[in-house]
Amino acid sequence: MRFGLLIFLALLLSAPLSAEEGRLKIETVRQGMGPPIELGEVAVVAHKLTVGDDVLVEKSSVRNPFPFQYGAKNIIPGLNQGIEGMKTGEKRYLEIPPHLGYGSKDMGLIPADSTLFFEIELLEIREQLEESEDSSDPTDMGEDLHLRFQDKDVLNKRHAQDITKPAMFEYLIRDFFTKPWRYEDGHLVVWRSVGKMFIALILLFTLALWGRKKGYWSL
Amino acid sequence: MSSFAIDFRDVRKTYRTRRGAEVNALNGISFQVGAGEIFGFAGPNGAGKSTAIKSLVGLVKPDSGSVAVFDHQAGTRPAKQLIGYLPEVTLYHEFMNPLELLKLHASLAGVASQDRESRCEEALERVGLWERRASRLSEFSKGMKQRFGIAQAIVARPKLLVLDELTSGLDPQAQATLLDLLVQLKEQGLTIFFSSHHLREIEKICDSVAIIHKGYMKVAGPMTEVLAEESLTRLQVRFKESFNPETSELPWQKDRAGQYSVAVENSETVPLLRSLEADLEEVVSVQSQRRGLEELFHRLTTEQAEVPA
Amino acid sequence: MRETLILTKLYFLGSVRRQVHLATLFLGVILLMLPSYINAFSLGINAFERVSKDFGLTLIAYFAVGMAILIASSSIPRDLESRSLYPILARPVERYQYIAAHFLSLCALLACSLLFLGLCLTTSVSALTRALDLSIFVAIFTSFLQASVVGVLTMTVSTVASPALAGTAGAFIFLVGSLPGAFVRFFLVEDRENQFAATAATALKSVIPNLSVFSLKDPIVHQIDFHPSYLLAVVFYALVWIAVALVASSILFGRRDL
Repeated sequence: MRFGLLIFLALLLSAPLSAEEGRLKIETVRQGMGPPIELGEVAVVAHKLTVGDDVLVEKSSVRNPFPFQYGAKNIIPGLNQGIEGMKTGEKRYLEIPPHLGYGSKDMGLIPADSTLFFEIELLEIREQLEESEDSSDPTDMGEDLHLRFQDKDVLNKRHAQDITKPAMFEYLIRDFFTKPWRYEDGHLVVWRSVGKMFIALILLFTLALWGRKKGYWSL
Repeated sequence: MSSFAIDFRDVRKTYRTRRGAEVNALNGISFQVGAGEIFGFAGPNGAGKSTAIKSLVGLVKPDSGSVAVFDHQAGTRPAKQLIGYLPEVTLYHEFMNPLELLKLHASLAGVASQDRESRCEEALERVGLWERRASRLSEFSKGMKQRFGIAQAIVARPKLLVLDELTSGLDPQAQATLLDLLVQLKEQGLTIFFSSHHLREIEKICDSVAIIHKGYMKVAGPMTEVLAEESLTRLQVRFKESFNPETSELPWQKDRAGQYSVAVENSETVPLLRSLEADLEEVVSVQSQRRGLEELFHRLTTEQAEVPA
Repeated sequence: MRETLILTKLYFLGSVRRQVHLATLFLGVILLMLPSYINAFSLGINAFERVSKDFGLTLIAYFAVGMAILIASSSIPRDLESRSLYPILARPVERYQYIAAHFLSLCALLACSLLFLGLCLTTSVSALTRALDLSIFVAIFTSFLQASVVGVLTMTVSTVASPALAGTAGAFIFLVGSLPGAFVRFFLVEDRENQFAATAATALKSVIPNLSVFSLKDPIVHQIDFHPSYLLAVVFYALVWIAVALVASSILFGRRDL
């Protein structure tokens, strides 16, 4: 009886811990704008995937983004859940537990039972994948960047002017319209900057008074 | 508590040029100016006069040493309140008229608003510019601008007047007018410190003098004491008719009575008299004569050695 | 404070005598005449109002920054050149009061100019829409803040550099500060091979004020709401940057032998 009670208590106590470990963590770093992404739409993202002690597994960037269909079966559940409600321009950190990631499968760079850390930024929401972007090989890991972009020679281009103009222009326009006042917490961002600068002001003012006292300068 | 209006003690200042070179503007200068006197500050161009004056009014900070104005550290608020300053070359805000600008300086100096009008009138009257109070400064001649400069320096009734190259570029008439004004101000109890290249005017009106050269103080003190050390002997003689003084190397001057006189170094008096013994009929007088400031200046500023006097 | 205000009046009058306001008048006339040349590009009254507001506010913002840079880069060096500040600093006037006076006179000049230009723009827009819209002044106010920040930073550089260098620095601060963050990221940060440039650009963006926060032209023109605290935050942002610049310039000018 006593032993059974102990087992029960152990299970009871471990339950919240395992529930904690098993939860997908989403942290929104920057707000986006416009309508949130809906199931079936294509998310064009810049992302960084790391495991363990900051081991970089794969990444994509603004110039070589990674498009995938939201809700598609070949996308890990954690990623699908993690981008729910994401808007264009939004940036999130996702901590995907193993059971929502690759589970116990050893995926080369990703050991079994790994928690996946995603830094993901939604660049664009499209209606559907371009034909060339459709990937049937979600497990294509390795050291190469994900190439889902139409222009396959993009890796060889090292200067902005070589990138196809519409992509660059689009991104600039998008950023041009995502001014701080557009965000829900835009004012908080400015207030934070005010706080930082105020600290700098106090330090500089102290330096000014100290220098005057020492005779280094006359204010 | 000292009784000096100005007290420089071992003041040093080095400027660093853009190319990294160092220029020693002041090399440990020390001198004092008594309250109520006119003090002349002389030196060739680049001697360090302006640097010394700027450290007095707080525009420049000495690297070491101390500068005190009536026992207050130079450059501090209490010291500045006691000083009226006229810089060497100043372009005033020429879109204003003298009265407007003077009122501004009076309020900056802390003159109470109810006294401002009267003080400005008093200052402009003193320098003879009251009739031109509504004209723009851009219409003034150099002499008038200098007079206005004195007006802005005295409007707050300072205890010390600091004038940098007061009479440079002025005609003799304007110079004389300004010097007379300084004497009048001194009689009212002001201490006046002014720098100039015109040694005659310093010798004429100053009670004390300092000569600076290459950042070193060559001599400083009351005029009589400074020049007393520098005295010559004036010989007045009558020659025999057989001797023609014009053949001599010395600059003999003849007067109406047919007597000749010349000023020589004290040490040369006896040898000269011995050498002329055969040609002299009579030695009329042997007197001590003070060397002028110009001679002293010339001697002190052409020395090769750079050690202080 | 008293000495600061006295000197502010002196320098403000000096700028007026130098006929700086004529440039303002010239732009004011252009703004009043907006209807006659904007109309060709617009489609109907609604579009005209938005296009002319957008165009007018952009002109005003650039004019304000240009005026601030020009005046701030030369005011202190001019005083040094003419030595007209010697008799002033020989008075019981602190150096920071002198700096503050120059800055306040710049603000006074900007405020008068922008108020006038705002009235011109409001007049020309209201004349055709038959409705008075004073929201333009909100965007003009933030343009004023932006110009003040750029101006005070230019003035800080001018305490130790020539007018040309100070003006260039001011223009640089305006360009980099207005640059969208994505522009920097796109060209530098994303390119991992250029780590030094990425670090330099990020460091630069952190020491230069983010001037994009002052741009309220879009919400005013397109009548988009923003959080009421946003405007207050922007005012404080400008104030704290101005305070930092004034303290820095006081230190730099205080070290200077005149």
